[in-house]
Amino acid sequence: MTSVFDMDGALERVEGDHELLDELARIYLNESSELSIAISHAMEQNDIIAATKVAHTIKGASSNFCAQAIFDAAWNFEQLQPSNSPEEIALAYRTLLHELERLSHAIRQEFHIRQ
Amino acid sequence: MTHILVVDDSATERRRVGRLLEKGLDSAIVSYAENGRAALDSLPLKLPDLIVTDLRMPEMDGLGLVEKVAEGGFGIPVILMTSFGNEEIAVQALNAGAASYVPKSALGKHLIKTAENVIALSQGKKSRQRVLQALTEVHSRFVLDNDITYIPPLVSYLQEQIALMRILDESQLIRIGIALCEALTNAIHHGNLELDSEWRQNDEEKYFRIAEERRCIKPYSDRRVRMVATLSDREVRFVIDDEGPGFALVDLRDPTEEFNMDRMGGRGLLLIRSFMDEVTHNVVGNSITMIKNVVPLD
Repeated sequence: MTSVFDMDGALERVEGDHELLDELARIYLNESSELSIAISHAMEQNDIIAATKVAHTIKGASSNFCAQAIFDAAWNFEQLQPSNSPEEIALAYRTLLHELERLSHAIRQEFHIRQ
Repeated sequence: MTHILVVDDSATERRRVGRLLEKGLDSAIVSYAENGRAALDSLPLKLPDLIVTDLRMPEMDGLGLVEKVAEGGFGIPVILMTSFGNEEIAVQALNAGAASYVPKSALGKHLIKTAENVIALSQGKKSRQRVLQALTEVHSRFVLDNDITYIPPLVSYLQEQIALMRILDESQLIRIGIALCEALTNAIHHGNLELDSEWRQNDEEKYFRIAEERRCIKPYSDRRVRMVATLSDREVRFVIDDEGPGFALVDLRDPTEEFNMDRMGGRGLLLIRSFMDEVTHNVVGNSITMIKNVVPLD
C-alpha cells in the first residue's frame, strides 16, 4: 500500500490478476508520459478545451490504480472553461502535473520499474 | 472465436478491458482502437462480433461511433462503458442503437455477463438470418378491408421478409414497396370503392371524403382486397384481387403521354410497370399479378 495509490483497490479492479496489474503499470507509465506532453502542448496553445480532454484521459487511465489525488486533480481540471481566470487554470494545471508525476513515481517504485 | 473490438483513448484502460474479456469469455480475440474514427476505419478489415466502447474520446466519440455503426448497417452490437458525468450522452447512444452499457467502475463485475448476453442475442439474430437465407419459398395470404392505413405496415412487413431472405437489394426493395403501395391503393380506391381518379385530379379533398363515406356503405363496405404474396429465390410475385366491377384497360389514359404525365390517374400503373418485371391483369380488370425476377445477390 502506498499513500499515492491504493494497491488493494487496483488489484480488485483487475480481479486479483497481479500479472495484468504489472502489465498495466508499464503501459500506464508510457501513457502518462505521452499525456503529460499532450496536455503541455494544449496549454502552450492556450487550448483549454483540448487540455480538458487530455485530463479526462488521464483520469480514466489513473483510475486503474485507485489514485484519489490524481483523480480529483484531473476531475477539477476537466471542469475548467476558457472563461476561468489564468490563475485558476495555472493552479489546476500545476496540481495535475504534480499528481501525475507523484503517481508515476509511486508506480515505478511499487512495481520496480526503472525510469 | 468471438472477435471483440475495444475502443478507448487510454491505452491502460484498453488493455484492462481487453484482458477482462480475454479471461472471462471463451475463445475471445480482442483488438483495439483508440477512438471512434479508428474503430470505424478498422471495420472493413475485420467485422467484430461486439464493440465495447468508451464514450468520451477525441476524433470521434462513442455516440458518433454508435451512430455510424447503426447507419452502416453493420449489425454489430455495441456496449458502452460509462463513467460519472456521461449519463446524458450514454442515453443518447442507447437511443441511437447501443445494445447495453456497463459503468467503468463496475466492469470487473458486470462486463462479462453483459457481453455474454449481448453476444448470445446477436448470434441468435444472426442464426435466424442464416435460417431465413436457407428459406426458398414463402406464401402469404392477406385479406384487407378498404382501409388504406393498413397498406404501409403490410408493405413494410413484406419488405422485411424479402430483406431477411436476402433475395433483393435495398433499391429493389424500395421499388417493390412503391409498386405494392400503388397496386393496393388502386385495388381499394378504384376497385372496391369505385373512385374515379379524375375526381382526385380535380378535387383531392372531395376524393378522399367520398372514399371515407363509401368505406361505410354497401356494397362497397362488403368488398375485400385479397393478396397472395409468394417470395422465393426465383421470383417475388404478388397477386392482388379486389371485388369491384373491374375496369377495361383500354379506358386507362396512357400516363407516359406528355399530356398525362402530371395527372394522378394511371400514375400508379406507370410506376408498377416500371418497377416490376411482369405485370398482367385478368380480363375483368379486378386482379393484378406483379412479378419481380430475382437475381441472386452476392
